[in-house]
Amino acid sequence: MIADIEAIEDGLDRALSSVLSLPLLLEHAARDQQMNVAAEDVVRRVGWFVVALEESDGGIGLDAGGLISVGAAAGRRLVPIPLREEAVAVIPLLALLARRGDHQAAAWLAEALEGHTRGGTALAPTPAPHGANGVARDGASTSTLPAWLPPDASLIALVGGDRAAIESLPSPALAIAAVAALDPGQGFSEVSFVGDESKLRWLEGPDVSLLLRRRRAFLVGEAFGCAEKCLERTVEYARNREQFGRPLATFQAVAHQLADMTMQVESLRSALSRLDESWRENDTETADKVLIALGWAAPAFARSVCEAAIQLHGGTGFTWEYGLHLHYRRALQLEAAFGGVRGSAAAVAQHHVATGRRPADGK
Amino acid sequence: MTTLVPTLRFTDEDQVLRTRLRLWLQEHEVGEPPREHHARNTALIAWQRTLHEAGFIGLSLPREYGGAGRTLSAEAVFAEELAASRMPELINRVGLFTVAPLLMDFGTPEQRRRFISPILGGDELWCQGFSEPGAGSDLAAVSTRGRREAESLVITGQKVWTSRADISRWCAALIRSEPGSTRHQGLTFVIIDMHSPGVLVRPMYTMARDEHFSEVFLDEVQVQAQNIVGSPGDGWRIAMAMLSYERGLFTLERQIRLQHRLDDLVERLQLCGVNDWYHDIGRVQALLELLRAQVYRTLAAQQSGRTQPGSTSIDKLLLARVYQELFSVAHELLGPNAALEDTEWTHDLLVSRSVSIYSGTSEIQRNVIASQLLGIRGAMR
Repeated sequence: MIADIEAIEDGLDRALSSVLSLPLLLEHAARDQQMNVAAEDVVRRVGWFVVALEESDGGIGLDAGGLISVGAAAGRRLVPIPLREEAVAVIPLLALLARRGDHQAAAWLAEALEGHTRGGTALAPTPAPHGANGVARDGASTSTLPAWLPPDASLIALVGGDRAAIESLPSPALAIAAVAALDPGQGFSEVSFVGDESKLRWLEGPDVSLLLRRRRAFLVGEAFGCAEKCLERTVEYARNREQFGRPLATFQAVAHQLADMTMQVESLRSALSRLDESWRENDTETADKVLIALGWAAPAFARSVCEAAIQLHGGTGFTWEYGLHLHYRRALQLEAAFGGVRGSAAAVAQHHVATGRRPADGK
Repeated sequence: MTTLVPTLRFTDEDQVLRTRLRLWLQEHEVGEPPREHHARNTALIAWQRTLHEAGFIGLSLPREYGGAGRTLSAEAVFAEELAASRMPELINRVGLFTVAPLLMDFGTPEQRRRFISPILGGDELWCQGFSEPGAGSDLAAVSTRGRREAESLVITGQKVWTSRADISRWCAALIRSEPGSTRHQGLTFVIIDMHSPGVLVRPMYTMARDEHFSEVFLDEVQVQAQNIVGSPGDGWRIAMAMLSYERGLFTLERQIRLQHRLDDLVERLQLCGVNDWYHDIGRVQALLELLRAQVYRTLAAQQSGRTQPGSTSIDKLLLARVYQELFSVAHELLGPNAALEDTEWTHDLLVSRSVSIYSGTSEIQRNVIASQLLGIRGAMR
């Protein structure tokens, strides 16, 4: 199974690298401009928008391991956030609604797969865990919700905790405003409720919960990919860049930082592999535990690795054109997507306390 | 390019073992061993013997040497269940987790027959004689010498920080046997009988006031040729293999015991009405999950015989980080009064400082990762 996933990951990575070149990503960020239609078409042709769909819905039926691996490719290649959210939230939600007999959703799904209907995601509030200082688990405060929308979005998925909603735009229940973002070119917006949020048709149930867990598995994979790419670039740079007459990497002060970055990347890889294995074995207890732990660890380690990468590149790392900042911005976005540093850590503790603590059972 | 790697899987047989072991442990509750050093050792030896008689020790070792002929995943089940039961740990872990697999990989059939069986029941305890006063992190600076004399080596020198040397019958030691050799060449791996004339053990107190390790003085100690492991001069390779065995099961057991300590801490925080601890505890809990996953990856690699050289340094570096972070968080959350008392928490805070030192410091682990995993040469200074 791992071999199949490897082939998918490899193929996708090569396809994405042909579209998402560093100069293009930098240009989009500089202009706060989203990807053009032609480039999106290339992404569409490699099957991007069906990565999270079941085979019965026209997808390729990737399991958790597949989603993690595709997420990792997205993190390495910095797939724009609206494209990610369309693939792992909007389109799977439409498919879920269609399965429940919603004809409108089925029609939107068909249009979305053709690229004629576009949608984005907002992070909806969930009840804050005790002791988490009011930070909602999925990153949103209750007044305004962070959202990532393509320019011509006609749908918005609201995701948070174990529930989700999908609304067509413009919606009388929602007000949306574009906002200058730390990570420009990603369609960052703020969404606020007009009146009562309960007017939205919230979807719950095991199928919704599974869909949202699959989205999170993708996101932690993305954080890993982000970290792995930064480590790879830094090792290469430190091997080739010479100062004081020898390669940077041969200075112990530098080599030790590279080792710490490696420890972070490899321990994330181990946890992602365990997540995949437990998911495939239908061991949901372990899968949930590892996924929640990764909700803190993956973005936190990705951020830490990006920061070390910038440091070890010296002045080069701080330049716009070298582009490490794009990975750093993505790591910070992912950190927020899981509720921020404190919120995601508090969620780990809350889950641990709530689910009992006997640590054997091979779990 | 691949993100995912193999991880440890348990077979149906392993799960049957788990159930049997769990029931057995419930029926054989022995409680906390005494704190006093000698009484504690006696109780721990008796405990290992009881476990051995019940058939739970040496699960992955071949039957002909007293084992159960199962896989490493069965050993992992044992390590998990024993640690989860909060029953005492095995006293002969050096023998069981490192010497026995070492002898299986590098020892002669005679050595396996002679040494493995008494390891299992705790009849003969083992210590590891690597570090010396002049060879701590720089293990290749070992200067304890072995002089060839007829069919034996005559060993003179000093080992230090030797855990459980005071109660061990055998010491798996690295010595310099080739005159004029330096660094990694000319080292030989030997088994020293700690009851031999010329062996003097002087226990040292640790900063945590444990009598855990010793200095070992070796004065013209005779080691028969049959107690050389591998070839003379090949000691470095064997010593490195021994260090890598230490990671898998040993770290798994540590991870579970740390998990217990975190759960104890949560209980105490709840009892004391401490607020605002969720994010600190959650951070450590997440690190513990990462450590468990890392150990499973290492065990899977060990089980398939495909351990990447240097990869277990990740386990050790992560273990040290989690260990120290847990007791540091406890120290901060339990407040200034608790920090002043001599309690299990302050004791463990002190002990946690040793984790980034023993079995290769964190600095050495970083050197290993840089050189062996990243292929960076010449970064040792």
